[in-house]
Amino acid sequence: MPKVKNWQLGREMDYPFEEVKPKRQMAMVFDTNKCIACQTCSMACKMTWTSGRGQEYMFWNNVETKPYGGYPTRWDLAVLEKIGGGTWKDGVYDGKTVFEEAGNEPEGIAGVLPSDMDWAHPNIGEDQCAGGSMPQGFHENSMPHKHWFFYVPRICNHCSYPACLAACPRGAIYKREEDGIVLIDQSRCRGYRRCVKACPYGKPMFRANHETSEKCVGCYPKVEQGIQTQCVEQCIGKIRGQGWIDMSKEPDPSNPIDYLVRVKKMALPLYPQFGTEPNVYYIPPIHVPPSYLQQMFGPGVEHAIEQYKTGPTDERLAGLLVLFGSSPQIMTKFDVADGIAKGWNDKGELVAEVPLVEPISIRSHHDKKLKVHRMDVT
Amino acid sequence: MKKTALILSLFGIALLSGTPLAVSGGGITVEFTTDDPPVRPDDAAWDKISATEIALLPQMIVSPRGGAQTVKNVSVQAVHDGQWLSMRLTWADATPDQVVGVDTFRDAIAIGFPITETETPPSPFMGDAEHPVNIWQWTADFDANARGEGGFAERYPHTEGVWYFPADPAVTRTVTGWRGFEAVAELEAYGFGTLERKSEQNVRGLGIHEDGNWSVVLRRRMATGQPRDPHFRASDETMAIFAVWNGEEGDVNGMKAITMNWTPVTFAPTTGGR
Repeated sequence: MPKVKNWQLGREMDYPFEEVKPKRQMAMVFDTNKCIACQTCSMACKMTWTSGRGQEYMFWNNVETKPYGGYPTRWDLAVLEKIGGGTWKDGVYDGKTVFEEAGNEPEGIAGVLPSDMDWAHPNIGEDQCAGGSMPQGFHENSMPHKHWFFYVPRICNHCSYPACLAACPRGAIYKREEDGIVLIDQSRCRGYRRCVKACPYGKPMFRANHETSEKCVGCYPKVEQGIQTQCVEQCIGKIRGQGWIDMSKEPDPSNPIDYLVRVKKMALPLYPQFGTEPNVYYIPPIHVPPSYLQQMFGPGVEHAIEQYKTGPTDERLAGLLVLFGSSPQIMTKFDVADGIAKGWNDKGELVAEVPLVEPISIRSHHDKKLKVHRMDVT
Repeated sequence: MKKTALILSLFGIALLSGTPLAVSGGGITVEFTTDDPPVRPDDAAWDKISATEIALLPQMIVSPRGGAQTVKNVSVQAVHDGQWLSMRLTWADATPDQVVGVDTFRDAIAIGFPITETETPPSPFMGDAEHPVNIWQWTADFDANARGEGGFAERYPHTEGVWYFPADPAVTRTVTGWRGFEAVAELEAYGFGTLERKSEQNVRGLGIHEDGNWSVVLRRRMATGQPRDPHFRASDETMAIFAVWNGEEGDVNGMKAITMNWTPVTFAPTTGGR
């Protein structure tokens, strides 16, 4: 099996195909600290892509509560059990990936095929708190919290080494050269469900009445026009940033994704140990015990949380986070100066200009002109 | 693991020894009848037709490997009247698996014929780049759906029936040949992983599950007039390959029991025929 470089593992790994990188790779950063699980992203995606018959339980974008939620149920734990976990030494993963721990799988990839019931509860475990019972009047007054949960919004990771692609016996899955988006060719798919089984993130989904598998298409018609995907654009919590990453080049501090992922190292891949090199990056929640987060986001968790906590004093970082959700366009360049954050698109056009602190004006409690009292005075 | 190694080494010997092993001895005789070749698997006429046992082994060449460990052979009967070819395939399968859901798989059987006559036979593994193979695949779910049975509607009540949005690729890719559910799909392949549904569908079929056996009839005109179809004539010879999937074992795609070589098929002359 060919060896490929997986930067998230800090080493080479086995992959069924030679290393081929797209011209540029679509990437996203999700700030879990700001996600409130309103599911606006899920609905925006569903209304756009999966509103047909046979897609009733299909959410290409979902938001689940950790530690107890999962769509499909136990998707992550089931894969972790298969690959047997693994430890990190100095930033290098010394366990097995889904490609290296194939066992006796007919596809040569450690995978789990979820059942109907696993797909039938998209929001199972919602808001369930870890850490035992809480007496009345209890307050969390230290970090990390003793009782905790957090939300994980999830889409297809458009991986650099997609397991779905590697598992398809018909070559019906491909990774686009121009943007790295991974697609299932619906005219080639015969519904064998090898991708549904192989993807460690549970993102290809089977549509029984068509006998084909479908997955997140990265809103490619929008991306081709430089516009963010539905789940990013419609996010009311402004937790999502979308852009491009190119690991073959030196990190560019003016590229929002590079800045968060490679310069600050504040946004981390989801379950990097699976080995697919996912391209959605998460800012870990600061209130959750690091031991749990390390299993989920790798060894960089504590550094990432430290970086996040510098936000109030780091104008550049705060400015970039303020730019999230401030334009429907994909921002490829940003700058922060004099309390103003600016974002530019691929063509060099200014598409967002946001103050770090909203101007405040305080009005009198009583409006003399209208002869009314105001409830809110700011 | 030992079993897998044995099968692989047997297969290696077959590869090394070249083409003579690509066609096995024995063979299927398509008997001649003056009656209509039967449409149903439970037709009493089959009792008079001789059967050939075809041995099957799990597919271990390409991923996904394995499958159909319980299906060791398929019994083949064939008859023609100069106009129609009818074949009955019978194999042991304890349970009828007729619903394709997320994690359930269907029973199926497929027979393949070379499309063009060549001196060296095509690869017995679904043909090769120069020698495409015509494949008739009977699937238990489509057969059941064609008769409004099988249990798909019970399992997925919200998707009862087939409902397509007009622009769905599933429609646009099959629109030329789509006539609703058919028990048999006619396909073409030039090697593993290359299967394509043909726009013209000429094979009809019906399967019955009884006493732990599937019995399936496949029926087609001897000559269809289609250039990409194999044409059969009385007194002619051709050859066939087989594959069986046991849905209960999770068989799908490459996970199947297959023939490791071609079986000769001889059409009886039309003595005293119409």
